[in-house]
Amino acid sequence: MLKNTIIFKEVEISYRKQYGKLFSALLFQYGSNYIEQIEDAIQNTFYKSLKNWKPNQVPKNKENWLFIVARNDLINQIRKESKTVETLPIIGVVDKEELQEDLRLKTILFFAITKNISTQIKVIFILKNIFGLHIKEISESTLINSDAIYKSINRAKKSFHPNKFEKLTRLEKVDRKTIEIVEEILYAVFNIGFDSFNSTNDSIVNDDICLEALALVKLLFQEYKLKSTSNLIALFCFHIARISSKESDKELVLFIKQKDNWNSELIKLGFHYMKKPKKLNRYYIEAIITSKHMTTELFDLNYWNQITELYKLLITITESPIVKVNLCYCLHQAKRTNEAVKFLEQIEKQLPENHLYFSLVKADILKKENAIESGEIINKILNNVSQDIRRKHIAENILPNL
Amino acid sequence: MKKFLLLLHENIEALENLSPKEMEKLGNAHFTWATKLGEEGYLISGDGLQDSTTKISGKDCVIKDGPYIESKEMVGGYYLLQAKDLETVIDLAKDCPCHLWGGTTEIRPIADYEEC
Repeated sequence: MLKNTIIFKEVEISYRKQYGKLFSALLFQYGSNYIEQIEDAIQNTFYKSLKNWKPNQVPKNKENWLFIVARNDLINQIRKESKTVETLPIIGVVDKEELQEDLRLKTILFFAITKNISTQIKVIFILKNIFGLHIKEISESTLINSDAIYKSINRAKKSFHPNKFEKLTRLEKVDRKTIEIVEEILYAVFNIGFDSFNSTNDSIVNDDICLEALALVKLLFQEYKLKSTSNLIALFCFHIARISSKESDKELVLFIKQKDNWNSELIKLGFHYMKKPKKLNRYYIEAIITSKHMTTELFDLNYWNQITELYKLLITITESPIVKVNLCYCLHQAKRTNEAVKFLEQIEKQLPENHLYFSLVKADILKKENAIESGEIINKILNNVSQDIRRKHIAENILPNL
Repeated sequence: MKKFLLLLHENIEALENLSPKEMEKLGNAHFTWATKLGEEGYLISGDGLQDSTTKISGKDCVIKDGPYIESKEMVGGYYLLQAKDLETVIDLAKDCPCHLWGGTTEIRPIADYEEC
């Protein structure tokens, strides 16, 4: 057969990253009165790229192509709605023909300073508009139902005050509290990416969310140089070093068997960014725990008792129920199961029903004392878990050991 | 070598509602598939089509602009392929990324009267 000379490559552009960049650029240019139109413009633009980018004719500057098409789409929408051709309200700093500056961090700072909405609502809004997740993906990633997500997003849109947005042009005016909120938001986003439950996603990790969260937290550190931010980078580095080893041949790999495939450069980077703060800080303790977990030679009673103490320290500065679940797990590993059971009872009401991680830890803790309940929990997990890869892992590695 | 037109009847509603990640995956799937077809010598050309459409009918040339919302499917693109027979193209078309999001492919052999 004759060989055709048409050889192509992949598009090689992350639409998820571009979504956030386009959203931020257009938001800074046209203001927060047009959030819905900006969302539609970006969606239309990606659809147009799908139709227009022929394999042998991809634009040289793909980012710019997306920006110009999205901006034109937005202008058309605004003009149609306002029925005026002349007056187009450009308010922001990106009055250019090119998408040059990455404004995602500025946009997150703008969301962070917005009062009257919870951090959870901010995280949901940022997942949608900075990380480009659709409602169904956010729902599958966070286990929050779609209706509640719609409501959160609408509430967020109503809360963003355009005047405040116009004032946020100089990053250095941001106070410490705002930076802490941004850290909290990026930490939550990272965790959602690190444990993906999306049934349509082939992977258990949304690595692009994790990598973009790392990129943004590094930008935050470059701007403000806080030790807490540095420790958050360290924590992200340790976790990302494990991503490629978490699964192999479409099967989950047990932590203990992952070690050979960890990224040593990222682990080194993690240690580089780990800085002892004056005041104890959540990310510092979590970075210490994670680094110990990745470097210990022996998972013996002494080790688990040390980690238990660190988690006990951690629960004095955070209310997170997940931290308490981790503490339960460590207590159980340290053969302090009675203490673990007491904690379990406290946590159960703080988490959604049938929470996967909590259920797994509970089943493990109960397996000796109450094998029947333990088995029932695992069967419930198997019925509820949305990803085949997780179901297979639980059925093959956990169920037989009960 | 015979020529075949592969028409992609796409589910517009599904495509318009894809998330950025899903769009990226679909775009890459088409690129990869087209690359394979090109390397193996099957691909002559291919294009995506805009949603807008114009129909001209009758002697009076009545013009009607679309898209026509009564149908959620429309031809959203095509590939012009060459292969020794229809069976080969059917096998190729089974892997067309158009099927990933509720689309249908249709193979139309290009008329070649020299064969009659």
